[in-house]
Amino acid sequence: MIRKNTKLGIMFTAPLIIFLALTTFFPLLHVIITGFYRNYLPERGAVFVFFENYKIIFQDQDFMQALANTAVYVLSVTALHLLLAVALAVFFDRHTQIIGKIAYLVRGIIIIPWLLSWTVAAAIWLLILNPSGVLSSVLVYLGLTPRLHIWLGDPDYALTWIIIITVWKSLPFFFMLTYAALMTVSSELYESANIDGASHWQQFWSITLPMIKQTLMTLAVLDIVWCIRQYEVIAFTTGGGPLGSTRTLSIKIYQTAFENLRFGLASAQGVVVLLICSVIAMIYIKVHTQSEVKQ
Amino acid sequence: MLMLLNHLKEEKMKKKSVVVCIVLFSCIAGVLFAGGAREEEETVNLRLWGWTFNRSDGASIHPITEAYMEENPHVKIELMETNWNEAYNEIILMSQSGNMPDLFLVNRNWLQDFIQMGVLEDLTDRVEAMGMNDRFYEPLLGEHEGRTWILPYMGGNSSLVINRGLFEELGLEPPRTMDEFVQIGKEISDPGRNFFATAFCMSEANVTGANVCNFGPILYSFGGRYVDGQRAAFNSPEGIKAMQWMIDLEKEHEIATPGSITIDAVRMREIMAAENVLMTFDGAWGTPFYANYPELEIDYALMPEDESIGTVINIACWGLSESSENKEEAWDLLQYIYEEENLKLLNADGNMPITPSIGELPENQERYAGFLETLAASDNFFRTGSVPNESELYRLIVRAYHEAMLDRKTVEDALNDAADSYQQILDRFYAQ
Repeated sequence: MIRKNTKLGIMFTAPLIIFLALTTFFPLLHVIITGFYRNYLPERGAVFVFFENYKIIFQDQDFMQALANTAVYVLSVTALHLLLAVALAVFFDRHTQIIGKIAYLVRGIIIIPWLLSWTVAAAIWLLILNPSGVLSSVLVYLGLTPRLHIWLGDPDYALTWIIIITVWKSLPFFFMLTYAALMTVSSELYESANIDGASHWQQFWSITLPMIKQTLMTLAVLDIVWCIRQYEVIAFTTGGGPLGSTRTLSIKIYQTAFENLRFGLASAQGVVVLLICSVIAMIYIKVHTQSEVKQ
Repeated sequence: MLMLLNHLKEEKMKKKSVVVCIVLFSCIAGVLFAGGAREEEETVNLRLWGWTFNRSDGASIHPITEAYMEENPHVKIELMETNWNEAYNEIILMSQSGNMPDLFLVNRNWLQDFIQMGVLEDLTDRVEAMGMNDRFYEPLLGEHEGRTWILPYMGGNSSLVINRGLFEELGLEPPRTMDEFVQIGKEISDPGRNFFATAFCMSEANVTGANVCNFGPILYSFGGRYVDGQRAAFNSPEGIKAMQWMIDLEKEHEIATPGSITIDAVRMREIMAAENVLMTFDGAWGTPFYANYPELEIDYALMPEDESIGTVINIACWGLSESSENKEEAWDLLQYIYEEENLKLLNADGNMPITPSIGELPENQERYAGFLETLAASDNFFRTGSVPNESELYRLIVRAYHEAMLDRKTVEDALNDAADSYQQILDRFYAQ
């Protein structure tokens, strides 16, 4: 019986395994192999250089700057997403009666940025942040700044604006999932807490947060991986500039591969990013498993 | 008994009829299928790939390929359209996956990369046999080290794009020299009203645009060069003067829109279309954009002179895939595309003429005067695709510009550092 079930299992999972092998494992293996070659692809007669590309990566100041930018970007965006999503979700949950019938409308409006493509979102923010754009013009008109400011051209501010654009665009997704998680928390828990005289703050720390912790952890991991892979918004707004202040790993890898045509080096850079993502995923799995065991 | 015999006879007849029908049907079907197979055997499928095929842009390639298929029923042409931003990457990816189209557009500044990658067929013998190169403006030819790899299709050279209406309103003539440019700029610029002489597009988001539209033509007009032989030369006194001139326009004279380091080529054209500037340095590849604004009276003037009349030649060209299985048919189609009537169609789409025969038409002499005059008068020009790893060169230049603009380095130091970095690339390239 067991043997029959195993055979059946293999039969059902085989198509998926073959599909994954063709679409994921094979290209991944190809990238890892290419990372050991100089310039082009192994099949185009490139030179095998073993770990030389990895040596270059960690001696490359631009790569290290991209790594630092990515860390700042990922941590800031993820933290802001989670904080704002929880704040918004709690606000909506607590004030449903006040917001009342327009709650659906407000939620509908909030979701709009998420529905836009990254290209459109970038175009909107370029109109706002251009030297002669809305923001500068309003500030000059109000007399708050004497001259038009070049927001995306200032290395001290450019990454901050990229973080703001990303948060603005993706927050609705995080809000919706957090709000959905919040809806599943039983109101009886809050009623009991109220009877026991717990303050709102105590209720939040002791009931709300523990109950939605799993959702938040999943969202955090997803966000970290998405942010590491983020390319469009930077490419369309600053292209990684000025002076590399917004150049993240994705942009760096793209430039190495498609501008410098150094596919071997770009593949090695890709492997480094993959390792970083894998470590994050492993930490998540470990923490997730531990908390499941506790529960 | 007789009835039984008759019945048997009838059955036999029926069987005979069925057999005859089957044989006849088989014969007809056989003939039909054989004909179909022969037709299939003879059908040639040609795949054309490029970024200018969108019908909504009035792309002339559609009527050309449709007419060709009508004249050559055995040829089926598939047009594969992409967008400009993805074009270069797509060719690389298609070549890696061994799925190259038969004919594909190649922007001239990718030429060296694609020759190196072995994706282009050497067209020298075919072009010489047909005398095709004699037909084009000489600087537009798709040659590299004496061999012809690509044929010019659309684009051209850079020059000065002017708002003729505003010039007339202000009672001014387009500047003939770089000094006159500054003088006009000082007269008309009004930062309070967000009106300037020009806008530069030096964003990292489009380093090619930054160079082929702005820095390149200005560098060559100041008498400089990107590369001299096998040496990086853009940090020469002329190069330093050119970059300093651009920076001064924005920072010191305030006659260029602020924020050039955040403006890309498309945004620069939008600023021009919004009438926030009087003129821009741009290429003939921008003309289809201005065709959307006939009320603006956009015109093209001769490139202002300093040490030279400089320009950058950057053109989308047709390349024949080295791995194509239909090279003869693809070559035949290419020749058809370059028939005089079809070139006129291309020109009618708002593209600069690529042959003197089209350029000499009276309407083009007037419409494209600035580009054609610059092309004829230029004594110092840069042809994209003529130096190794051009994308990296462009990025280094843009970075140097940003460093100088943001006061991180002097123009001289920034250009010297960029030149050192590019020299390493050149040394590596020529050592191979």
